[in-house]
Amino acid sequence: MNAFAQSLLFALAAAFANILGGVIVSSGNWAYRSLRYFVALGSGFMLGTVFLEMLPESLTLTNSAPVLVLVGYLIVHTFEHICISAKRRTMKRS
Amino acid sequence: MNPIVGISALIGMIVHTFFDGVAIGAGFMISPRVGILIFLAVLLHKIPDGFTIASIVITSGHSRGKALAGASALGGSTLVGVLAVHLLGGSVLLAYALPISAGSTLYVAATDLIPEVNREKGVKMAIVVFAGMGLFLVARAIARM
Repeated sequence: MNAFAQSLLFALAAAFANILGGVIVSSGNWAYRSLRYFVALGSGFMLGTVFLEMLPESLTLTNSAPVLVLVGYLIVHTFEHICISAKRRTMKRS
Repeated sequence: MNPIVGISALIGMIVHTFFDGVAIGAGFMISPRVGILIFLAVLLHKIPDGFTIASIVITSGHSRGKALAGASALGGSTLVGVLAVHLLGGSVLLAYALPISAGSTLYVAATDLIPEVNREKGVKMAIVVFAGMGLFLVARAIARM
């Protein structure tokens, strides 16, 4: 299986998890409570992936990796900051 | 809440899930090992993401069907991210895609998710974050075998 087929397959699984999260909204309070642990577990895993895998790998690919990392950070910052100022208040309420 | 909030929140999250896809695609272009590690990192916050957008859409006055459509749009945008990095691909793009998606993943983890975790007092949630890092180290060790 080539890299394209592999990443498409895994991305499909990830996309399905998005939809599953949407389905959970209507399934009651216990699901919401366990989501907090998913968030904590996921953020720890992501920090490990960024600092120990993606950053070192990026530095071997290009000399301009540091500025590109900052660009990536700021792109998501810009969109989420403009668009989702109401997001976290909503989560708190639910 | 204003219905427009649901739509703007969706646009914001679509950008972030697009880069989830870019990260997965770039990871698999480097090696299956890196690809799978990035996939697991993405997967662990996908369900909370879908949950978040669906609850915003509902509380901003839309129907449950639209909430599910919103969650599906996040999934779709992840696939578009993978397609973009592979179709436009080549090693030059990869050299840009990986660091940019590293930055976007850093934002989602450290600026988006960690404050959520910190809102809860006590050491239990802090330990779960370390458990997440531990899980990463275990996954990496397995992937290297």
